[in-house]
Amino acid sequence: MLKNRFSVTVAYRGSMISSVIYDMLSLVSTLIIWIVVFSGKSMIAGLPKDQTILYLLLIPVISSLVNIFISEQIGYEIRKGVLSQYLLKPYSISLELFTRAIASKLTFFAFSFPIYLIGIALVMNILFPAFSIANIHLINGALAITAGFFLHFIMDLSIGYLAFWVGEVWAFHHMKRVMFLVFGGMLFPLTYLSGGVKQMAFFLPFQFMYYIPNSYLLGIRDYRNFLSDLRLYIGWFLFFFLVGQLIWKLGIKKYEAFGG
Amino acid sequence: MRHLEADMNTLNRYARIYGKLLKYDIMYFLTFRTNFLICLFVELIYFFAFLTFYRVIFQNVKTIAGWTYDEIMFLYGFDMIMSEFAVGFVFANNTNTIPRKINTGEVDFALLKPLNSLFTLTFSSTYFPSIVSMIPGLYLMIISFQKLHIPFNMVNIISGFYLLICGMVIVYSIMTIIASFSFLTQNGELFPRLGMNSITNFSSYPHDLFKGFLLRMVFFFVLPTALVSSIPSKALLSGVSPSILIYSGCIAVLFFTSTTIIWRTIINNYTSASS
Repeated sequence: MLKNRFSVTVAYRGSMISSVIYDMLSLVSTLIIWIVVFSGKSMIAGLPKDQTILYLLLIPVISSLVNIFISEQIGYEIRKGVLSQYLLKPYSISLELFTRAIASKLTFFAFSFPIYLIGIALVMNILFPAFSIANIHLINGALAITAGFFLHFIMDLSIGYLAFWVGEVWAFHHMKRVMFLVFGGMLFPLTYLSGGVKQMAFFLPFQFMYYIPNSYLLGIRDYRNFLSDLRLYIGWFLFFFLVGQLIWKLGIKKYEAFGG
Repeated sequence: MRHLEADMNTLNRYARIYGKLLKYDIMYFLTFRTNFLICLFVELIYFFAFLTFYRVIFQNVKTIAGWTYDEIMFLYGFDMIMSEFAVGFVFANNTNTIPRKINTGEVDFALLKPLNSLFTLTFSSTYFPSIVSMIPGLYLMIISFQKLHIPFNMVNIISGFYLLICGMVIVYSIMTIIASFSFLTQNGELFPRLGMNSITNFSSYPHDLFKGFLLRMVFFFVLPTALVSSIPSKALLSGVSPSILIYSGCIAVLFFTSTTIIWRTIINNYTSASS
């Protein structure tokens, strides 16, 4: 299944190239504003300029690895009755969606990842000549990204199952994206927040997909936090897994499809 | 004179068709009220997310490229109107659907209609929630304008309105040019999104950020997003020189002409993808 999905994803190379251009545009836009914000300052909210810029440059890379788009797909398949085909197959729709997600990540690793790395190294060396790639803590970061991927997958799957009741699940997908922007650390490091909003951001699960992996990559989060973070990852994973299972069981009882 | 009359008749005909289609789009959204409210809610939460972004930034800095918080909020409000125009009038139901229409063969039906294909495929359908979502942008502009204590100036208003029209033409042209590349690939789903993001990523920034020859060349000529929101906002707040007004008009005409030429070339070379 995975091989099949990988071949399908690789077949659309044009889409991958345009995706890289799309991310590069966001990167340029991010760089322009943050360089100006940092003019005359070496540190904001406890983060030095080079680390903040690197944090923001790493966001599209992390996003490509943890981002999941299955809620819209599953929503479409439930609404159109395509789900019936999966109910007859000897494997579940969640496995099918999981292989699709893994295949897209493998394609990213094979084709786009090197481009991002070269781009980031180039930008960092131009802006901060003293910067070294050795400053990136790959192992901790990679583990946190992997955990983030699994958590995001199960979260998005639960959202997708809402299509048994709601016609358009895309709205939930956008709400989730806004949560990632503000409470996940996509727009800025969470240390920029203050008061109750900051407390809320460090309670909600959205930080585990962007802020926590990025903090491990940059080394601003001590590796000794990893076990406690992992416990929280697992806790949230179980929470969304149970919620997803509940929604599925209730939804499948309600599901009706007509025609071939 | 006869040519001008014929052109005006064509324009009137398309305006009437657009009006009828808009009426249907509004009726569609008002029929599915829950869906309409969800759409509105989504637009609003994005608005608040980016408002939070600027609040957080301004907790740490006093100005961005010489623009104060209230000026940036005015620009952000203006840009929200422009972005909603981009999403609602060009992207959501039009350019965004081109790749799917190519794959399903729906483009062929559009080409067979007795209407201009550029109009049918890139401008005919409106995503109504975007029109309503322009209201918070307008509100933000009014609030910021009051806070800035700027005296009302009719010349600035007229030039700002003129630059708004030029900006809309530029937005439409850039989005259509990039989206039309979908005809050249089998799976061009990202092109329309790329077209929209190439504008919305930069249009909310003050044009004073773009310093140096390269950045000015890119954002004032190649991808003239500085002319979309920032320059019109500046015109409304403090006025701009006549040369900027002439330049914006020329760029709008240049981009729109390029759009029609590129579209015609691509459509002429298009071979149907489906039955």
